[in-house]
Amino acid sequence: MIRLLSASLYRLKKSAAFWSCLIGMLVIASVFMVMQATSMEYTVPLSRVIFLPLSFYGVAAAAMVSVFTGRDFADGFIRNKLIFSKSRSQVVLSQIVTSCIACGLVYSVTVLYTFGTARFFFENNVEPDLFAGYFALGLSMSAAIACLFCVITLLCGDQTRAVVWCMGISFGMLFLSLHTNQILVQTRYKNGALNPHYVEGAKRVLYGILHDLNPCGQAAQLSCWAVLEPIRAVLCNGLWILGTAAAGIVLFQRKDIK
Amino acid sequence: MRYVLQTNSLTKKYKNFQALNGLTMNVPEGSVYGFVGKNGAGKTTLIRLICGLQEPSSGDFTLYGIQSGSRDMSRARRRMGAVVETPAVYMDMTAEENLKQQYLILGLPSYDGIPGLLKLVGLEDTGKKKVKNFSMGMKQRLGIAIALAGDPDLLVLDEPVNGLDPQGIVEIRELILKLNRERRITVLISSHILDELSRLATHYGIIDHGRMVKELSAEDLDAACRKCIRMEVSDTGILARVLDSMHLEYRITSETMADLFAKPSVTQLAVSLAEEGCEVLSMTEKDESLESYYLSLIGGGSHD
Repeated sequence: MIRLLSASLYRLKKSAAFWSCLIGMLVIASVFMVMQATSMEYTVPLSRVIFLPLSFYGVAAAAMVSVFTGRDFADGFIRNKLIFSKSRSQVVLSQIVTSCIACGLVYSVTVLYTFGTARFFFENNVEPDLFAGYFALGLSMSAAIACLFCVITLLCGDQTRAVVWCMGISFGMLFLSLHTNQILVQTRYKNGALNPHYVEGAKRVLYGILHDLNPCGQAAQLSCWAVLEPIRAVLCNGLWILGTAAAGIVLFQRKDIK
Repeated sequence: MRYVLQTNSLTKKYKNFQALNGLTMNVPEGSVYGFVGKNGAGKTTLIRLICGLQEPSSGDFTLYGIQSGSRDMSRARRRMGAVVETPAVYMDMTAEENLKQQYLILGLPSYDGIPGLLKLVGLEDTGKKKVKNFSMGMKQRLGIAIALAGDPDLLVLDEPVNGLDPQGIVEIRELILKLNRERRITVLISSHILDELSRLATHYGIIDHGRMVKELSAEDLDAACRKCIRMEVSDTGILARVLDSMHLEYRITSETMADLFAKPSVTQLAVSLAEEGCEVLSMTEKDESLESYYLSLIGGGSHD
């Protein structure tokens, strides 16, 4: 496991997919900061800027993980890993951990870069404890995204197919998060009258769970600096991580590799 | 004779296609085992099973005496190196970086062996050139270098000369022979290029429709393919007596057939046999190559 992991990390350092994703996210973060600082008629506080680049994080992570992990299949190196590993589970786990590290790095660098730069241009209303909590939630969200797309790629067994699937799913998750976010941000009263678009009761709980289960939904909450149920969100991430890892191990065990 | 690899009634079925159908084969230690068969005969499938890329539907195999499915199989696989179908190399890395990857996977303590491996396969001057800019032959040689990284006792090569130019073919052939003779590495090569295989192999396994049709050594094949006169007579006992008296080399192949490895005076031989009461039914010159031998075994049917 350690041997496979060190080999994957060695490759990550040289991966064009990883560096492109990181640079792309930093560019998005910079563009968002400039837009928030110049285009708005009102002053935006720092809290509404820090996690803003995460809106595109799901799509960027899907592209990076599927290209990086799929490269093993496209170039055939997965065969060398399978021949010399003790078990297939080790191959799956090493790939998952590498994807988590890659996604975690992209996430951390992007958020810390935004935080570090934006604090000079925006009103600083950020409480350090809350930022630390949200940052940790974002890390668990990026791990969940990494696990999901890594396992999809491993099960596709083909780089092109994996990229198509992962991009499709990430866009689906993005649009779903926009939809659920749109519903959940509605206030009960609008202009003094009851808002007809406001959902309540079991339906609201259901939308909330759906929003938390969707990593892009969590990204939307972070970018608004308003996480509805942080503990539930962390539990959902844990569910994604354990569920996808377990499914990956079981299904990859039976997979015929060409 | 010790065997590195033995398969026992190995079967692999994909949905509606039976790729291997009870295949039994034995690869002797120190040999260059040529695994011959047409496209779709099951050569690559067998190699995938041995390498652990796929699981057999039924049957089993032993690698260095370790049974497939055993927990120790990963230990046995560390004694082998393989190039399955295309060389498993990262295209956006250099030859040296690819070898470093393999060293890390194998958990080797240092990279000291890499320059030697690159030299062995003739890639020591590739420097920072990415593999995607390599020729097919260079990629193939790098694939072999990666397979050799763990200092294996068994090298499995799947169609190693496919797509290579004539010079590339010669280079790969010489490399395989060098590894077999100097490092005593057992080599299992699958190929359908029979002429090329006949320059390398010490043993052959001929496979068709997932079944082993014939296993034989190069000597057996030479004997089977030796130029001779095939005689059909009424009594091979009398024929043997007459040929012995004439000090001619021969081999009785059936009750009425014999192969004669000499150029006798046909008239004298016919007269001698007639005097003993043996009738000559037919005499034909036989000159079989590996190709015609292979076709005679598998029937020369059309491709699937």
